[in-house]
Amino acid sequence: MWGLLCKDFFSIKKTAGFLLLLGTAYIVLDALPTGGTSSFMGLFLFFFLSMIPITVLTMEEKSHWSEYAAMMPYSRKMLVVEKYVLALASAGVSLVLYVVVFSLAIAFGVNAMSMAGVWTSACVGVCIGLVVPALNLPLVIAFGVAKGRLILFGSIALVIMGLGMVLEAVGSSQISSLAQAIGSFGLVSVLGASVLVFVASMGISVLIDERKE
Amino acid sequence: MNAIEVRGLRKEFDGFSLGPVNLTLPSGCIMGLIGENGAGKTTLIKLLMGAMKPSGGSVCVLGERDLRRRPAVKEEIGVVLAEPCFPEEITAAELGIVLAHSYARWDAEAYKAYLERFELPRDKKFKDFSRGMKMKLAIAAALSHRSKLLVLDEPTSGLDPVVRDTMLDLFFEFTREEDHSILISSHIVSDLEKLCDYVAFLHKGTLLLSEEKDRLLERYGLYRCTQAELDALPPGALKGKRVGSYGVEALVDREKMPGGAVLQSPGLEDVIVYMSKGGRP
Repeated sequence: MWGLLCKDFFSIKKTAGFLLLLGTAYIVLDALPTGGTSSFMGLFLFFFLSMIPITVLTMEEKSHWSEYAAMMPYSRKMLVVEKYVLALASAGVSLVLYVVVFSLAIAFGVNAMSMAGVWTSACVGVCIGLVVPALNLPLVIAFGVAKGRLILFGSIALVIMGLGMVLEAVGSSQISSLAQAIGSFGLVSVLGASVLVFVASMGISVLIDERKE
Repeated sequence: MNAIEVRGLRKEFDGFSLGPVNLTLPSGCIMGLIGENGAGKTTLIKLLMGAMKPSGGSVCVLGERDLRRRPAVKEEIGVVLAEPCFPEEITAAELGIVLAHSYARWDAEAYKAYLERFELPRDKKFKDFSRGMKMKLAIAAALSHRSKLLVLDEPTSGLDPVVRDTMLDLFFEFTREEDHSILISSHIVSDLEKLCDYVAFLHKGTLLLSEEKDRLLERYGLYRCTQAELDALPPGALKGKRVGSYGVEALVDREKMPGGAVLQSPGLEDVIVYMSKGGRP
């Protein structure tokens, strides 16, 4: 699998470098004095880097890399799973950068946020880093990058519209009690759920890829 | 041991079906796979490599029957595809790193030597390579992981005659080791005639022949005759014909011809062209 990860790194080093720079700039801006709170701007890095597996798949589609990869000593399953490993690595890089920048800001007295607060925000970031590729990858593997993205955006729009209609019908008092109920599950539960979604997505992608033949 | 054994292999698509294909490539030999565009050569190669699920039949490559579940045997197979599919942003040097982490028996020194021999720049992006350079890089990669079998899909297309000749020498060099074999598909029949011990001919998804090249050339003859003489041929003797204003030239099976008929030796290209035309003029 190292070979595949190296290939992805060499293919996207320029794009990833730019995203990394942009995302880090957002984290730095976020870590500047804000009176002990985070604006969550720093979490953009998690979102930017979560799109890396999709960017790689776009490039692979263009160069027909999958035809060559199928001739290499890798199973089809390995080729799919590697994209999830790449997503994990991207989330990991984002997490390290986020925590390091905020820790430095706190250490130098630039930001008054507590380390617990930093880890809480970083957890939200990791959830983004896991859920975004988990939703994208099965669709992209099934329909290709262009169609897959279109279907995802269409589905999201439909879900938001549907939710809007439901929430309007339910009323604001019930919405706040629902939010409280979700909040009581805690961030760790949300992170756990994100991991489950990520693992399930990987299984689904492997199945889709097998059936695609 | 046979490098490749294919029995009753079939693949069905909408509007095209391949097979059933039966062929054997003994270890240490070179087999040429000939066929027009769309004959099914690339599909056959994908089926051999386990990159595609067959509709029926079996494949055994280097003693392994299930390349899909046990891809490790692909360590010993060097592949060149008709369209080299390396990532556009990658350089030859970076490709070497990728392949070194993909093939346990990667030979970095050999790869470096091939890059120098083919005059390929190490730090130029793949997208900036010419077609010929791309093919050379694919061949360098296929030859650098100590493979026992080379599967080459149109490896010499896009190369000028001098480089093509160098490549053919390289392939000969590769088969000097007695357990090294090559399956090569090409449109350039003259290359295959120089290179191959065995010939397989695919026509519209059907394998018309798969046999030893010398035996094939001995088995058939070119018969120049009149239409009346052609009509008088015994059944089964005629394999293909070309009718011109001065008479008929036919590819015939020597064994089925009456004694006394004057036959000329055909080239591989004659056999292929006549067989694909069949009885059509």
